[in-house]
Amino acid sequence: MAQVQAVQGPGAGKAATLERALRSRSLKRRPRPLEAIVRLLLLLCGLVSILSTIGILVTLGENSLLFFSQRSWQQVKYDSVERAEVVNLGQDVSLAAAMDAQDRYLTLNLDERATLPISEGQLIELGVEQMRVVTARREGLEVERGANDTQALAHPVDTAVFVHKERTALLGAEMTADDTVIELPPGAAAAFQVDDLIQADEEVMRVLLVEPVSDMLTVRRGEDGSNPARHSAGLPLFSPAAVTPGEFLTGTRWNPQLGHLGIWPLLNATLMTTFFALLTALPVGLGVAIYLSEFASSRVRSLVKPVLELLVGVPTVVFGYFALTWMTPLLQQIIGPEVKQFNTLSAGLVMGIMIVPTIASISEDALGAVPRALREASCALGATRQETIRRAVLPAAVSGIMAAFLLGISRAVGETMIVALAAGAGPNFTFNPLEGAETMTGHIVRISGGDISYNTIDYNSLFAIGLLLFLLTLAFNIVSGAITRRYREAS
Amino acid sequence: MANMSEQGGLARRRRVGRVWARVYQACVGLAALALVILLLKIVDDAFGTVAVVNVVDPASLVSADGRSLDRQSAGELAGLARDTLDEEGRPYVSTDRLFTLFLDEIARTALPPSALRNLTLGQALIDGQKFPQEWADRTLFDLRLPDVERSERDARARADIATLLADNVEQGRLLELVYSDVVQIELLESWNLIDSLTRQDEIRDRAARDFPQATLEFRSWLNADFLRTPGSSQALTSGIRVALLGTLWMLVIAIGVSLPLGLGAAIYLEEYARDVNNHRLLRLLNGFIEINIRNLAGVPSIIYGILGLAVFVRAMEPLTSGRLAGMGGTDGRTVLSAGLTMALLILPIIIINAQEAIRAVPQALREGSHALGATRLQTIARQVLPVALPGMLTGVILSVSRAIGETAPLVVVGAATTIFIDPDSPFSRFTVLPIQIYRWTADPREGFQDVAAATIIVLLLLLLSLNVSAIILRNRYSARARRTL
Repeated sequence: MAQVQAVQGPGAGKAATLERALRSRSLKRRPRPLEAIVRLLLLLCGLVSILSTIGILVTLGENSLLFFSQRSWQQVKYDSVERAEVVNLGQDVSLAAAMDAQDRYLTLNLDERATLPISEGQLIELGVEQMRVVTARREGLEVERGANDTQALAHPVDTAVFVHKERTALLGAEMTADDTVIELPPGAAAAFQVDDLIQADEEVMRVLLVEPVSDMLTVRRGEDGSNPARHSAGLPLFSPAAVTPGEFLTGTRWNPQLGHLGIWPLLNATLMTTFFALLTALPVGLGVAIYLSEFASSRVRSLVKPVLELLVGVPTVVFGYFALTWMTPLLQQIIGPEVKQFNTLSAGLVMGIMIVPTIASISEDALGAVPRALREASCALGATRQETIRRAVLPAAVSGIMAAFLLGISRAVGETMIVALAAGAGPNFTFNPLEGAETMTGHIVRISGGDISYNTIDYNSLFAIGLLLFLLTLAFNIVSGAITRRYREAS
Repeated sequence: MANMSEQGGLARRRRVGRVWARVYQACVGLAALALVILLLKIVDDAFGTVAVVNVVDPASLVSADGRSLDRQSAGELAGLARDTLDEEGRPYVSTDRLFTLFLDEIARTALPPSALRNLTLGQALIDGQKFPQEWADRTLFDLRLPDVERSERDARARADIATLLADNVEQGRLLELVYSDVVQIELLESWNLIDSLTRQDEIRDRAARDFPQATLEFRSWLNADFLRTPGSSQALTSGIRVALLGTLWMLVIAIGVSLPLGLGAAIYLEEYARDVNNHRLLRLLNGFIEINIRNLAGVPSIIYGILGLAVFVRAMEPLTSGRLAGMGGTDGRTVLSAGLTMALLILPIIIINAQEAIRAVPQALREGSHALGATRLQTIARQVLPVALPGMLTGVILSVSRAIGETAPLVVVGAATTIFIDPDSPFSRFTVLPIQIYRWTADPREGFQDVAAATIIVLLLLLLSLNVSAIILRNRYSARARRTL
């Protein structure tokens, strides 16, 4: 200020000139159209990256919404109780010997040529008692007595055996465009409820009344903008089945074609491979990090670092090849033939090798950020080098190691080619690591690898799985990034 | 600490410490070992002994006067190609195969097939080539489907085409045809390198016992033909030509799109985004772009594949299939879709690396330039970018190597099975090296895993050379930077 006033004092005229010059165009900030355009263009380049995030969110979200709201029509099934009969011979099946209330085995009158009309897991009825079949052999059946809260009773020889069968609900009689009553085969009416929607051909109807005794339905024709039409007898009836997010997240069967859309078989396989990957990568990666940051001379470091970088540079499909052609045969030699050709253990272990450099480099950063004073203080208190590492350095670096751990999980969950090659092709809800099980990413690759047609349940399910995958990895990445940033700022 | 000395004293504590130090060392050893085993396994598979057998014994194809195949004339070889039948009475060389060979070798194939089939022999054949005078007016179409009884058609066409081949094609070309299509080499079993070296006798015994007619030979699955030929249903004749070209096309498109966008975004974020007089909203937007790029880099690659499938393959199908460009493609599963998908995938990597390169340019350089009266644009274009260029290029090379090895998104976008035709436009169907590795590794037939190993070697060599050039670039750059500063 003093200087400015000094200028104003004697040379006020000069200052006025300066001020005029400042106001004049020559020294003022001139508009630079070229610069503005370039700047705008560059900003647009930056916006493309946002566009790609929006693209990911919109495509995943939109198609997942389709997946969850899509009304896929499925044939109506009902449970019908029928006399067990050998189909090709028309022979009725009955008890070959009397059984009392405790017997768990029963034998049947069967012709030698007959194929067994009863299968395992099926519900059979003798008199008023229901039994669940445990094993079904021609020599006899093992059953669980008194199923469905019925009472176990004695049954005389030649008691007729009834079986529960799942049948498709068909139109019992022809209906014209005006009919409002549907006739159904015996027992089928139980599969319907008032207010259900039914589809027959292109037409949709709403159930107004169910008569379970006479097996008739009263319906309103032409719902949902469809046109009432004539339907012939024997036409299968469909009911709508929409996938709810709850079903998707809790179901334990995955078979979109049959309407089973529970993510757990895929998610479970992903979690298993991730578990084995981290089980390998965390101790090894941490060991490498400790060695590099606490023990290695600079010469050793310059040897080890390129090895890690090489491991990072190997494409994941090569690791997949390694898992299938080296790790799996090795496991088969060590553990035995119960190791299947495709198994989650082998995929997980090789994935672990792949993640070691990631964990090592982030943990090393974290260890390096621990202040030297802490180590010196620990040594000064008489701790050996190892004690210093275990009791002073590692606890101080734990948040960074946590970040590495989370990032490792995120990479393992999103990893595709190793599991696509080595973990198995086919959803399998199992906790046995020696069996094959398809992961979420593996499923996406296999399903989209064929010529998938658009707007099918398979196609839309890709996006629902993708969305779950995206959210999972995003969560891990964000938490890991936040931790990393915190300890970087702290150090 | 007190309880520790009570437990065992200093010597014991030291000993525990030494054991742990060994454990840490072992971890490093384990990582290195894994890499070594991985590389050994690949080499082990890519070379080795193979037992091969000829489908047709060349000895059965000697001429009446006892001359072996390579001594027979073109006419005799054409006759063999025409007449040799397999056990079920079908010819080894189909009529279409003969006809294609004829077109490739003789006719003016610069013409599109539709125009070609209406040419007469007289027009189609180049001067100096021979054909019976009375055939001069027959069209090529008529040659393939002569106007005779349907039952005689094929026999007549075979005979005519074989005659033309005999008169006009070199003996060597026909010999090649007879070897590849009639004699045919079939792979019976393949042993890996280590077994081939250490258990030679065992292998010889087994081969003699199980395949008495087979010959054993040492084979390098990686050879010149492997690079030159397209894929095949036979492991022995499979090659990676189409995959190499596909990788190149995909890279050109991906880099062509993401390089300008990525460098532009990086320049913006480093040079303009931190302006103090930016509007508050703009600053918010800039911050969002930064966070967004960091997060994009962590998205699993297969998500990009799904994005590509929905956006490029499906929504933009008229563009990516080439229908808009009038190329008449049928679906969007083209190399263009693959390139665009890959461009999105490597964009964050390019941006982050370029940002670091620009950030490394000393602030003094910018200030000096401004002080000399240069505008901001001039400063960026003439001072900042030239200095930052090598660093940016290193980042680009790194993202190229990422793009070369990435498989999952391209499997989702591409989905093609085996492709035998070179990609020749952005609208071609495609395959790339890692997809071939994936398919061949998953192929249970004998020999295909060896083919996969050979492909892996090619891929790793490509990646290695890229990385070495990145390192050289980085070193030269830092050396020069030290000199100038």
